[in-house]
Formats: sequence, structure tokens, C-alpha cells
Amino acid sequence: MTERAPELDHPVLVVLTPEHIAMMTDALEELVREVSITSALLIDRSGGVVASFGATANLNTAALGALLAGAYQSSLEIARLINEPDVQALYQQGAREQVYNVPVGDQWLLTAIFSPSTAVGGVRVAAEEISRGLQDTLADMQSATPLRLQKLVNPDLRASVGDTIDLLFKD
Amino acid sequence: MALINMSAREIHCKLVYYGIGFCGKTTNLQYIHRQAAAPTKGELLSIATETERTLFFDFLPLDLGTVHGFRVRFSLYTVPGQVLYERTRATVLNGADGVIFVADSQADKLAENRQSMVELAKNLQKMNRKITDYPLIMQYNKRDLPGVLSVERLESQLNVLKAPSFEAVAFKGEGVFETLRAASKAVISKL
Repeated sequence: MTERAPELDHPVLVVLTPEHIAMMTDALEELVREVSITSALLIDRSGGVVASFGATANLNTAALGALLAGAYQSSLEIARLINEPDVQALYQQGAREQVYNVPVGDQWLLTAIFSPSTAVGGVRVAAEEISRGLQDTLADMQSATPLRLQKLVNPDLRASVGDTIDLLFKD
Repeated sequence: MALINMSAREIHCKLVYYGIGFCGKTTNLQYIHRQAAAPTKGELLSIATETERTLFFDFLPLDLGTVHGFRVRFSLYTVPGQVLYERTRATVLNGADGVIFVADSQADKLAENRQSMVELAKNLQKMNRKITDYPLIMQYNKRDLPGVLSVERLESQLNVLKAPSFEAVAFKGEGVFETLRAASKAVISKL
């Protein structure tokens, strides 16, 4: 049984274990294979890409994560302005590639990138199912983070990162 | 929200430059992008209007390389400064691990700066973050302009939290890396 720390109201840091990354990557692989999409990404809503699967080698995933998270947050604001309480999905239609975003819990986004030859309806159904399946993994990851963190980030690591910052961030 | 990926051995943090319109947030990022060594900096992405005013955000990923077996990455963002983009600022601030508040040192900008600081505190509160225990760095920019407020005045009016502060002339690069160093270290110290 996983050791639990008190739940955080709003996580400020998450430790992703290899087991969790493997579970997330498996889920993304399932999505890619089940509906034949190009690639799938799991993104935290502050813009970081947590896991990916598929043809991502030529994608600028750092910029994609920032933009997708921003686009989703914007859509939430649009919803708020028109008195809509929820945004269940975000779909971008393109001539060569399309993007379908669904939320996973309150903090994450599942993104599917696919060609127009793949039916969006199938992507929607599969993405929503995978999203539901991922919620437990992500909740476990968030709640257990404080305990894992104590073992990970030590004064030596902080000091060395500080030295690296001094070395790199200079005129 | 900082992410520590044990599988890829990566630490990923988000830093946001906050402040009023034309205070120099984008200029900070542009200077960092010009000066940082090639392996450290990623592509600078700007979602701006035709007149180069930030519409959504600027984004610059920085890769500090491997330290103690962890690859350390920072994502730098700016918010749009114009008053009407208040909700967009809250959106970009979401999940930030630290903030650099860029203040325009000109006397006629003081009220706007103060308003922006109040808004920042409110937005952090909405994220359930206590501003008193949050990595916040102040940058007093445009120090080269005539008739700017003294640092003492800016400190008393804007920096009630006594956050570390730096003078800057961002377009010349003065104070830019000093501010970034302080902010990134403040973020790391909170992990």
C-alpha cells in the first residue's frame, strides 16, 4: 500500500516516479494505438509536458505544452464569461493535423494530435476514457509527493543548482 | 507547479515576469535569449500583437544541464501588461513557482505599479499561495531615464514584503541576469 501524505489543496510540486511515468506512457500508447493518432501528450496546466508517446521527435514539445495549457486556461475564462461552468474538451481543426484536448482532473490535460483521416468522434471517446483512467494515477502522484520529496531534494543538490545558476546566468 | 520527473531525472520550474505595460518584461526575456549560451536557451516564443505588444505571453525555455544526475529546466514566461488583460495574467501565472515583479521606475507609473502588485497578491492568493512565503523578486527597471523615483521610494511603496530587489536597465542588459539568478535560486530553495 502506498504511504500517504496529507492532501494538498493546490499542489505546488509533484514528484513523478518511474512507475507513474510508465503508467502514463502506457495510457498514452493505448490512446495512440487504439484510434491511430499521431501522438499523445500529458501536460500539467502550468505548461509542462509530463509524458508523451508517438511521433514527438520533431515537435517542440516545450512550446506546445506552454501553448496548449494557455489555450485551455483561456477557454476556461471564455466559459466563465458566458456563464458556462465547464470546458469538457478543446478541438483544433487543421488541414494536416488536428488537436483534441481533454482535462484530466483539475491539474492536467490530455492532448491528442491526429490527421484528418482519423475520425474526431473516435478520438473523443478514447481520450475521455483514458482521461478517466489516468485520474487515479495523477491523484496518487500528487498526494504522495511531500513524502517522496524529502528523500529527493537535499542541500547538496540545491547548492549545486545554485552554483550552476551562477555559472550560466551571467553577462 | 514544479515537476520532478524521476524517470527522466528532470526538475522543471516555472518563473513568471509580472508588471505593468511597457515596464520591460519582454525586454528581459529578449536579452536573456540573446545572451544565454546556445545549449542553455530554447526558442523564444511570443504571442504578441502586430505592434509587438504581448497579447498572451512570451515563453523562453532554459536548460541548465545536468546537476547531481538531474536535468534542471526553467520555463520563463511574461504576462501581458495592459490593464484589460487581467484574466490573461492570472492564466499565465497559474502554476508559477516564482515571480519577478518588474516595476517601471518612472514617477508617473507608481500608481500603476502599485495596482499591479495588489493584483499579483490577489492572484497568488487565488492559487492558494501565500505571497509572504513565495519566491518573489523585485526589479526596478528603466533606471537610466531622467527623473525616476529613488530606490528607497520604490522600496517603501512597492516592496512592503522586503523581497530581494535589483535595479535594471533591461534594454542594455543591466540587472537582467542578476534578477534571474536571484529568482531561480529562490525557486530552487523552496523545493
